[in-house]
Amino acid sequence: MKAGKLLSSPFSALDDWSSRPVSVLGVSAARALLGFVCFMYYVSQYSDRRYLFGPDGVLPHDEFVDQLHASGTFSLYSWSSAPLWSDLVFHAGALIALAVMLGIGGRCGLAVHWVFLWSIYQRQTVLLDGGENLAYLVIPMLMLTRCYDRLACSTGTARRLARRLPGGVRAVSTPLHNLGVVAIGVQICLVYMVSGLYKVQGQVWQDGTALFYILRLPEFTLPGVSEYVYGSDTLVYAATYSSVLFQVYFPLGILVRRVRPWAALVSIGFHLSIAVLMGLTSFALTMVACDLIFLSGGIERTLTLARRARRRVMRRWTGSGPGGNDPGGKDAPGTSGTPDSDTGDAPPHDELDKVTAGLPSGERAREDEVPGTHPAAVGKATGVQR
Amino acid sequence: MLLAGAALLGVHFTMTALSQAPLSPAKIRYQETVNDYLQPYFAQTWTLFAPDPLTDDRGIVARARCADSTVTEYYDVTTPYIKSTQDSRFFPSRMARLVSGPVQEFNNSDELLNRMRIDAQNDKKPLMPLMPHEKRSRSETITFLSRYSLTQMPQACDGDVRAVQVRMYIHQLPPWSKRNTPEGDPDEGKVEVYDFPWRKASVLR
Repeated sequence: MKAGKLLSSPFSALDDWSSRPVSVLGVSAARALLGFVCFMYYVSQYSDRRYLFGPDGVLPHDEFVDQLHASGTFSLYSWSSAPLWSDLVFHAGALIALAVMLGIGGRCGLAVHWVFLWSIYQRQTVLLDGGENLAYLVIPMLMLTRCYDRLACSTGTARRLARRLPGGVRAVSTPLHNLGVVAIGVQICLVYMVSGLYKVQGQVWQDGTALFYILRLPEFTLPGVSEYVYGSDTLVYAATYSSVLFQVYFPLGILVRRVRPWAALVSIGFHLSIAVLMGLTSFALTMVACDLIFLSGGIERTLTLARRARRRVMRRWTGSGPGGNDPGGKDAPGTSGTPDSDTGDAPPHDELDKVTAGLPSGERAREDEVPGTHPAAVGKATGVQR
Repeated sequence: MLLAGAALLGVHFTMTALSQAPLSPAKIRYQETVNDYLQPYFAQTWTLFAPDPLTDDRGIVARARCADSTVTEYYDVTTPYIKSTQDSRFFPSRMARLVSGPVQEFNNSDELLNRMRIDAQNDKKPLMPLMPHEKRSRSETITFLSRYSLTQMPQACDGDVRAVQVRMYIHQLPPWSKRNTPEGDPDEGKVEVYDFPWRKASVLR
């Protein structure tokens, strides 16, 4: 039935793809988390900023400019060799990253953020790892999406500007959004597949002992904890093999709609343990940010629960309220665990308004996401997913 | 619109995937096109600890020559920042990478040259000499590490350093098979050192 429906209506599927934006909350959350990680890049280097990024630091201005020419790219830091300039660019970059995290400035702000981010990455390339690599690839893809529709403090400027755009331009907004989401999804799958397949070829990954070697490297050791992990044969085998299997099969998990949120959750768990054990916080959180695009539904439910919990706490604190609309314990977080229940008791619209921050009311209906919606699956009837 | 966009994405990710594929005749054939398109803004590397993760602890120590031509002891300019990385789990400082990055890349070259050298080593043939661009890049790395070291030992020669020499160490951590024996302790294992040429402090400042 499912296949028949898909085959009989390829055009309506295509129509759906270009008219219904997927994972708006997911990309918004990804944008916010990515903004936070980039902001922390500035914060964690703050006291060393002159040494690392200044013209008289460990990479003097003239050598830096030579490097830049050799790689054929640009950096705002190269514009002037005055110490004041690099300090200015640094602080401006930090503030713009903060604005991206808070959702101020819209996609133009995101583009400016990319320019500052690229500039600081090029200023000192030895500091970079896969996290920064992913960040500068994913930000242009996010720029295609409506990643400021949720979790943003909107000033309404973007909406006013959007109204002035000709209809033709506004019409491509949704297809562009969906393409952006797909692009991020494909990119993250590529990351996993490549790193998984290269691991399969490695001797120590085949032996199941790779984790033993990695966790002993001083740069990636957590003293007092890592010893116990690499001291246990079983843990080393299990963790090494499971990370290879997980990475290789992640793209398949993403393709199957029912498995998709779980694959993303496993990935988040995997990266949070990397963050703690290996001290790669920003790499791990950048990967987590990309996983969030598959978890729109889950984030929505979490937000609803958090809002409800806050309301209950407020009510208790003020001591007022004639018992409220929710009859006591029936509304406890645990009972809302079933995936479909959230659509039934969605928050009232005034609550939603605070989060969606001023979308035209016609667009709001589209915001209600189905968990893990993916363009490839949008054509199917919603009932099929569970 | 949607279809055209999807086609563009398809081309983009085909190029990307090819750039991440193992070295192959197809890759060499299309390398130029792919690089022209991807570099520098879409450049990426996803081998992340694969296929062979590092199995050694690498770093540098450095010594200084003072105005009166005396040479100081070696200063450890690597471990202090490693310690501060280990002490923080929330966005740790990246200062340690000023050493680990250049040191790990020192013997690395592009994929093709690496492969040719490994093949020559396996066949017990003479190793290919360094290409001019490799020599230049190594020299730049040595300058960078020397300058870094100079800034990390302000107390040397009472502040009046005339020249710096960096020594790279590669500490082979004991293998898995020895993990339960006395020589399996992470502090054990063979250490190789490489002394880089002296660099004048006046050039570095």
